[in-house]
Amino acid sequence: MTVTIALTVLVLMLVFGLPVALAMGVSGAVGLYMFGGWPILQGILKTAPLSTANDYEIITIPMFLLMAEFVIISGVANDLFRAATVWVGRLRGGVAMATALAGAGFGAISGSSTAAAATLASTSIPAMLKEGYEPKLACGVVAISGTLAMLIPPSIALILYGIIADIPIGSLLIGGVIPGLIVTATIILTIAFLVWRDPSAAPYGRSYSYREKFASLKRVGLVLVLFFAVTGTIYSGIATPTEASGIGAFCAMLIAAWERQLTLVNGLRALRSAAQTTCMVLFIIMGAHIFGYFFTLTRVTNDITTWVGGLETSRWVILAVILLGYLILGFFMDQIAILILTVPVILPLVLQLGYDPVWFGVLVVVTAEVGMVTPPLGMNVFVVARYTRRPLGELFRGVAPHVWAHLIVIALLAAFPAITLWLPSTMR
Amino acid sequence: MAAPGGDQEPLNAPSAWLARIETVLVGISAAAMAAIMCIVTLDVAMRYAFAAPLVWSYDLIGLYLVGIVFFFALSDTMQQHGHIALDVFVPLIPFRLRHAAQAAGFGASTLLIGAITWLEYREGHEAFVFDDRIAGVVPFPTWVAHAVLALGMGVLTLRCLYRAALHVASAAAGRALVELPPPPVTSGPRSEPVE
Repeated sequence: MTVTIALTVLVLMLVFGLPVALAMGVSGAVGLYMFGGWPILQGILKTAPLSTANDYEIITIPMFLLMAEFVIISGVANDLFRAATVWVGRLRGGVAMATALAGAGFGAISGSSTAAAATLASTSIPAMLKEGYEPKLACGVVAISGTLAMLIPPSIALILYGIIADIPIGSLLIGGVIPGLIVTATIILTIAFLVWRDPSAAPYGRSYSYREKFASLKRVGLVLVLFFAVTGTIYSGIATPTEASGIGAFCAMLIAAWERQLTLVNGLRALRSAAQTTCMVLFIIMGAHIFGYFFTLTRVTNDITTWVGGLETSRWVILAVILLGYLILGFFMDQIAILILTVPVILPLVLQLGYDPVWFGVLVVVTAEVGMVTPPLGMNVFVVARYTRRPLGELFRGVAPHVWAHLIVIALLAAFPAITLWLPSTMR
Repeated sequence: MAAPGGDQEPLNAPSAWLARIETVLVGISAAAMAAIMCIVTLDVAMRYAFAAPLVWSYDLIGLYLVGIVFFFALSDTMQQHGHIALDVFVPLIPFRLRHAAQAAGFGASTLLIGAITWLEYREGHEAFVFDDRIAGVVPFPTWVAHAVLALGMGVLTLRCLYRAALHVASAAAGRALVELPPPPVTSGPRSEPVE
């Protein structure tokens, strides 16, 4: 009865548009009060807020967010697209393929999917439309390419998963590298298929001399510096993910200064924006802590795990059901909220089934990527729509082939865990 | 979900007063963010270049700076509609019911956040009186961490109380009297429905 009331409060508050953090905090507090009265609730309220913030590890989130803000200010992300276009732009659909490559490059220096979509939308869509690309194809590629930032390190989603699941963030980030490259290749292959089926959707581009090609790489050097400052130092063991995040933010600030874009106003805006997003994430984590204590005390997680563990079903069927659940949740909810709400309940079950938590984390994030581009709440599609002012229906249709291709990648990663786990196993 | 919003102008004097406090606090939060970045970078550089890491950095960041980034930005983020919320169903709910429900939600939130503020104030006061310090290389006092939490949560309590009161007024008046998040990008440009 107590669980039902708390869940009802949670659902009502969410439906009426209250912030997710408050909905989780209030419903968890109601449940705790009904379960153990004021003494229990008081004990939790004394510890949950401070334990959320008094954690050194958690600085990876604000630092990587700050790094993304400085990267956007610097403008080097735009150069990624230009360089990729010089290299592959002459192929049919080449500029769209360059967008996917630029998305992967941007993902390597930023963990924000919507920031990637916004940056790509402002640079690559005008270029594609100017060359006569079908708007549906152009916008769909940008929306899906933006999701690569969720997977390729530094990924805020993977860091958050690591913090919630209490597993090494370094392994998770490195575990996202190969799946990220596979998703990039899948986007490019999907474009190739689409333009093969309908050549009028994308023309051939102009070709560039090798001199022009190598000249274009000069501007990409800064991005490589940032990539190695973050992922390189984590992989080689030179720095922990927390240290790498701080160094990454600092290097991104230097790059913005080098590019003469770091004005006082820009810098303060970047700091404030990163502080607000950090606060939003931590507030949900705090609410989830309160709600999580309620679930733990009432043994809801244990009961669910025991019940599912007792089912006479293959563990692969259970995994498929879990991933289907994540796909459906992704249609309606923000990916951060999904992770915080579900991981504490689902992960014990996944571990009991004998799956690897790093592999599962990457799989969940790849699955959550689909939610970023599917209706009704495909945030990346909304971002592209805001920039291009194209109809949402057209954009969702444009991204649909990529969604199907993405589902194949999810199946591949689920069937072959070694794809994800090999690289982390070689870490120092 | 609502994405973190842009600059929200206060609609009335109480909101403007709160917004001034929030602006100061979020400024300190941003400064703490910059401090974390510089300290972490300096720490790594000192360790590799001179084998002399900053022994106090871990405690300073974990105990104070992350708390300042988080708690001092809480209320400003609320005012700017930066805390994500499910907004797909909201336009489908009748105006008065929506505002009445949000008033109830923010009222309950006021109680929760207010309770946290009060409990932290007491913890901080006790830590101050007994001069509690962490057992680190630098024995930082713990009351500062409690004070940061109580201050940030205290301002958020006032913001939630303001929202609860103004949502009640909106439900009663039949027109929006409180700052509302921008409409979801899914919908076209349209004004808040008025009964």
